[in-house]
Amino acid sequence: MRWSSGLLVLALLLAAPGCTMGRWYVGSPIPGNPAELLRIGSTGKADVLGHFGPPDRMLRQKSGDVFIYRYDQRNSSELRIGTPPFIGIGAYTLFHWDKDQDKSDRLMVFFDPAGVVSAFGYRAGRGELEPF
Amino acid sequence: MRFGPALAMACVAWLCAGCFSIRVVSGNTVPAERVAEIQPGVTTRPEILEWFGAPEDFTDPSGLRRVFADGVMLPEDVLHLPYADVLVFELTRGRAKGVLLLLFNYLEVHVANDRLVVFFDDQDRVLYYGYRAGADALE
Repeated sequence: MRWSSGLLVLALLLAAPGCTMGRWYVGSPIPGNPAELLRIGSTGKADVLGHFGPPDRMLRQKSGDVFIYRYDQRNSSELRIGTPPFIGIGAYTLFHWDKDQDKSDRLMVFFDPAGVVSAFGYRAGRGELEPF
Repeated sequence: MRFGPALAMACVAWLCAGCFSIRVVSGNTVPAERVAEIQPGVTTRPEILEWFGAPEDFTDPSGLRRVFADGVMLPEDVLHLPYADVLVFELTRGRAKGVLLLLFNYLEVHVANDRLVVFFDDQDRVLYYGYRAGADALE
């Protein structure tokens, strides 16, 4: 049994599995449901600013401004089998698996020259994120 | 003695464990009490500048902000070109925390802004404005 325990320690030193998970959040959630809050042809810029706050980006076009709201989330998962991270010299990797997902909830609101919503697009991309 | 190697491994794992917590702030505070005093049609551009100071486009971005922007850890700039009728005031707060173990690591990063965007009419009075205190949640 002592040999088997020692063998297990040696095996782990030579090929230790290491797992890293990361979560990145940039921005603030988009409050409310744009489909319920925005009315094409009637909702004004002040209402949009009141409902959703300041945009994360603004574009200016000849036909009117565009407000862009974005809440970004990145999920990263990594599995590595190799020497443990504290081994510097002679370190090697037997297997490496990495998965990065970058999704965002995005709302784009188009205004006419009078500052009234002429169109908008919304996608709740963070709902497509897989946990691993 | 049978538990010796397992105990040694547990000790190594415990010694190799660590955690970190990093907080960064970039930009100037946007005073919320002043935001409540903004009145569309009444408040003027000089008043806004007096209350909130120099807006984003006229501040010199700090080195920290540049590092964050280059590392794609910050949201995009609200404005790339100064718009004559819009001023932006912003405070960015970042928080990172993580656990580093021998076989498992976990890290979590949040970046959010307090942001005020003010639109002016051709008389230099506030037309409308938007405010969000997103960075408060990271305090």
